[in-house]
Amino acid sequence: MSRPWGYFLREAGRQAWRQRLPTAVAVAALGLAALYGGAWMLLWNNARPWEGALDDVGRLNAYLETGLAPEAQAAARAAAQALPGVSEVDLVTPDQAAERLAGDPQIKAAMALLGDNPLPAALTVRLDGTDPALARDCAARLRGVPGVAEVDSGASGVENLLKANALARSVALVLLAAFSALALAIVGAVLRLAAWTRRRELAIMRLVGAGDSFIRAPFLLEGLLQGLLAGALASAALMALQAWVALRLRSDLGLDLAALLPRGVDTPMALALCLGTGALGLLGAAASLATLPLGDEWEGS
Amino acid sequence: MIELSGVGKSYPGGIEALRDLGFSVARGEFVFLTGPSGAGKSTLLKLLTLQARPSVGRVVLDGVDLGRLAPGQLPLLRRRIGVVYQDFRLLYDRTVFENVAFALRVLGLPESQVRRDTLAALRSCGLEEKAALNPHRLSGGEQQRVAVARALVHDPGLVLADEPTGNLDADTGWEVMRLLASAHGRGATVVVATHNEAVMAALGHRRLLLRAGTLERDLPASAPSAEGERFRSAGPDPAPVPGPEPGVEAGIPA
Ligand SMILES: Nc1ncnc2c1ncn2[C@@H]1O[C@H](COP(=O)(O)OP(=O)(O)OP(=O)(O)O)[C@@H](O)[C@H]1O
Ligand SMILES: [Mg+2]
Repeated sequence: MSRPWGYFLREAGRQAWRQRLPTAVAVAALGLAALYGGAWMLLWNNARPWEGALDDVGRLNAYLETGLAPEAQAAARAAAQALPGVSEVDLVTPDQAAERLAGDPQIKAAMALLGDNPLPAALTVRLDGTDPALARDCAARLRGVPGVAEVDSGASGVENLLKANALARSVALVLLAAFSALALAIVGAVLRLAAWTRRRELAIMRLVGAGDSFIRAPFLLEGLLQGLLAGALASAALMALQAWVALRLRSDLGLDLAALLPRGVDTPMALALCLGTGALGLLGAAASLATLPLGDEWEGS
Repeated sequence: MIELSGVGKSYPGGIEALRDLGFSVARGEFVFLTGPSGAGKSTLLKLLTLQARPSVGRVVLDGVDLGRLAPGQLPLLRRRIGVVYQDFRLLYDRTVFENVAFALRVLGLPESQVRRDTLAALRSCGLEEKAALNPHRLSGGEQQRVAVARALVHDPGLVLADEPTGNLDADTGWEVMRLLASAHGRGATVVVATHNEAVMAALGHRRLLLRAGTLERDLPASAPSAEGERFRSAGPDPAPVPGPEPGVEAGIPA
């Protein structure tokens, strides 16, 4: 049996128009979920460098007191090298540190904002392994070395960073799930409302011999279209926002947004958003209709 | 085409609308269903139009035992039946064309055929001028004809009508009967519930007389009156959709 998709599309459109306000609410809910999802994807795509921090567990940074004489810096380095568990120590001058960091466009842009080189001289201490306990011990001993101002204890620091990052991501993920669930529920409620207002019509369609899929298809299509529309609107809004921010950054601060945000809102992301909300709309429609008899009333018996 | 045995239907509250009903209607037959108000005519039609299930007994429609109908078969069986409801059951937010067309859409026919057959049905019911109007802008008789066009547009083998002449003046009532007769002429089995003595006497088809939910009498077909003879011999109008079988002569019980 062929499926009259043109007819289904007209039906979905007619229904959406008859219920303009609820439909707008559903699209708005889906759109908000999409905006949040988009923000989340931006963070995800651009926060990736944090993960490189894991390599740093086997390494400690000991920042030296500012203005320390070169001889004292060398002495601190020798003392650090003598500590148990330490395999190698490098002295990094402020200029070297700045140069090294400038390789990362994100940090380079941030440094440009700060102006003067704020970095102290530091010792990069490579350990005999990546055991966090060893790292903690070494960090404690390093703190006792004359001239050392502060030790960035790789183990706990990186661990905490990773933990915080993971926590932030789970919170974001839970929020995303909550937003999606809310949008799903609203889409479902709107379509149930539509089915309710159309119950007489659906009953007549049943009596004429309309099958289940024939009755359901326009509703599912409507959920899908609501989702696609919401995804498209959210993508357009994110792109517009991005363009505006890039413009302001360039004109007000002379900065390149692309440096701070290596991967902005692009076409694949917009497509992913549309597909995501489209699936959400379809799912909301399917879930809400699954338990509805939709006009089927072969009563009695 | 229709076989009932031991059929009963009770509504919630203990009302027994039908009791131990048994009769059969042959393929191609035209039968009037009559009896006083509350006799159970509409209830019987509800069983035959698959709106309600019998409480007891067996109903066989076109070889299908309704008691053994798988859920997925219900729409398929409904598509083989054309029903004219007493209250029309039209969609008042759609055009006349759409009201008739969707009986074809559910069959999954291509749009071009939907258009063609719908227009043909509207023409044979004298509604082509009204195709683009909404039903609430039509008179009662015109709405009744839309209901008839929708029931006949897919050329069903079984046509059921509940008081199709109920609220119509005599001429309009005859117009509706003519449409049902033309479906009969194309080979459809037709069951019409009616109080209209003039129509029944004129056409002389078999009558099932219900009273208090039971079949009181099964009156065989009689000779049509002169007026009915004229009506019958005038012949059905050009068919909306050509039927597969030649016309079956009216009113002879099997
Ligand atoms: N939905 C219902 N719930 C309860 N009782 C009902 C229902 N429908 C019909 N009845 C009862 O069943 C009996 C038969 O009703 P039915 O409508 O079949 O009669 P009818 O022969 O069609 O009458 P009429 O000629 O007035 O249309 C009546 O006593 C009626 O009150
Ligand atoms: Mg009745």
